[in-house]
Amino acid sequence: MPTQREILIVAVGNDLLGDDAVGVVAGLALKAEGLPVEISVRSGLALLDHIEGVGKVLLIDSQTTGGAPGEIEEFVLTPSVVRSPSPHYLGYGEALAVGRAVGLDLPDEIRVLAVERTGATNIGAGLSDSVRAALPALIHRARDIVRGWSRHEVAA
Amino acid sequence: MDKPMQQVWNEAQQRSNEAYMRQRRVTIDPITRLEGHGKIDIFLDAAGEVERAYFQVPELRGFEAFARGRPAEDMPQITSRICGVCPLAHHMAATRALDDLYGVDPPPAAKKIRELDYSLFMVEDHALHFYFLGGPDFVVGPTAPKEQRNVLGVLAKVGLEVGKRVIETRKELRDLETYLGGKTIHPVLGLPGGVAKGIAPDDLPQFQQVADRAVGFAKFTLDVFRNVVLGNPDYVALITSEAYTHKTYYMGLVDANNRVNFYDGMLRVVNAEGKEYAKFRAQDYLDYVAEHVEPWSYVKFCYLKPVGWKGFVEGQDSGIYAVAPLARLNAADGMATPLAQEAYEEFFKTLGGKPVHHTLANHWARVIELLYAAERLQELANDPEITSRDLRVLPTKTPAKGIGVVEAPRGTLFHHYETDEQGLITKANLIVATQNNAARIAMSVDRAAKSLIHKGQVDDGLLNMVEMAFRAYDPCHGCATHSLPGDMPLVASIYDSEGRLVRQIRR
Repeated sequence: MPTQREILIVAVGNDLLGDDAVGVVAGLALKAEGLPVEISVRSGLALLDHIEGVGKVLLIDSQTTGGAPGEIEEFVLTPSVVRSPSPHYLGYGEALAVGRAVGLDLPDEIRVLAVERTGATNIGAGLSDSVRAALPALIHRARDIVRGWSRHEVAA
Repeated sequence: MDKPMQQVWNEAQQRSNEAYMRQRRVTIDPITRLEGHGKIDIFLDAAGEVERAYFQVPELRGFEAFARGRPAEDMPQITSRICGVCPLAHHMAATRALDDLYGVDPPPAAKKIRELDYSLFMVEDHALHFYFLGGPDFVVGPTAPKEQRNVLGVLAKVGLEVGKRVIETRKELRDLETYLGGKTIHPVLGLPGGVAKGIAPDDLPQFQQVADRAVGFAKFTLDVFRNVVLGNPDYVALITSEAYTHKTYYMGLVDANNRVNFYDGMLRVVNAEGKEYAKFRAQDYLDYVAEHVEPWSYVKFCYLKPVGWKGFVEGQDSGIYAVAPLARLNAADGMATPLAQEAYEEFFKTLGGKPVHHTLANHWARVIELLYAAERLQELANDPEITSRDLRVLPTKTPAKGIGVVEAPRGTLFHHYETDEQGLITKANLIVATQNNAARIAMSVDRAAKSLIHKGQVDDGLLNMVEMAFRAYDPCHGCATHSLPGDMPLVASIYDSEGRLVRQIRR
């Protein structure tokens, strides 16, 4: 069982806003399995609160890139050019760039699992069918990533 | 404005609205709206001058239907979940509405703990916003290359150790908010008639130390503003320029001595000459605030009901008003803490007396409020009553209607609930800060575009100058989701006199 400081899953989203809830739903399921999970509904710079001082982080969130709803994308987060004028609308890459610039102790790896969502964000709308159908695969992949990291930690 | 002028204005507006409506299918895509894009649409006339510029923000939807039938006491948690930006502002406004709904007056210690928690939040929010929002325009400079106009450019100028201090200060404040609000996802402090948690005497020194550091940090930030912004005559000229000036009404919460308060008091409105126009209890807001609908926007534009909606015009005859830091300073007679009061006096002295109509002065006003919030935090952390265990009065009254108001960082926030006798919601209405400000923001964007864009020339620098007009209000896109990529893209579209899209700039 990895400790909170070595490995952490950060599940981001808003459980009231349609498919935006997908990260939270997956995060709660993983937490129930005993994995180290923090749920976050905050946006922007608040990401740094969760990841500071952690070795490896898996971020689970929804995304809107124009792909098919329910599609899962996996990538490693890298710092990006800061363009946002507001601390609350910083993208993850921007928040990471700010954190690095001021010398915070940040993870050596941040992996992202992002589920393409539909545009429906009426309050209380719930998950769409296509995003709900992606949940088992999302949770499975998250579990695999964290287990892979844990094995590595133990071996080291 | 006299009647014929008014008519000419409204007719011109009607024409541009119609032009806009012809484009609407192309320009307002409901999906992009929900993803939280800011949109500026600029329509040029045949000579390449700006006929009308529109700024769109996403709007919160579905809340009332969602709330109906739920227990009123769930509202502080539910409403704090609708916004990833200001959860505590919604939590407090809802909690205050519950006090009103159940007719309970919380014990003094409970009120102080709520205000202390709220002060932590205001310090956190205002500090960040100065460095992120105002900084790029004033510390880095409005005409600096766009890759430098961001918080990292600000930190490069003021020093990276300042950046670290901003981040660390924020974390300390957040840790104390977590102490009071619980380690759950959403704050669980406020209950009708009181609070769920007090401060243990052993933990108090931590609050006092953080408060002391917050005051030091706020003073430092005010010095940065003085040195960098006020020390530069070009910036002062920019702040006071016509492009960024509107003479409107201003609204804000004030205490019994008409001083700025974020948590409690009466709502005060001053007119464009700075004279008190109205002072009312939150419960009477519907007598003063009404909403106007425009065909080109999903946002309802608030205006002063007794004055009436006269279109997007300024002056005493137009019901348009502003909220947020500048409005709060204008609507009050002063600040309730000593250092903030000094800064308040300097502000009005420098900018030519009350009221100040310069939108960009919001950045300065925000720093003064930061100092007030930090000083108030310090006062409350040293109040002998703050560790009292007398934290709640249990409600006994049958609920019917409850209205609560607080000053969110971005301005006045109203929560209004009606319930059946079981306390289940039958009606819910929220007016968020950006809605109060929506009409003035629309005017500001239009004014800036008209002042800065001529003969069809639009470049990145000009666009930034137009953006500055609305950035100063720090408009909330809180109903935008948290989805990746997570940033808030801005799309500016420029149309020629035939309504053809001639240029699109994305940030």
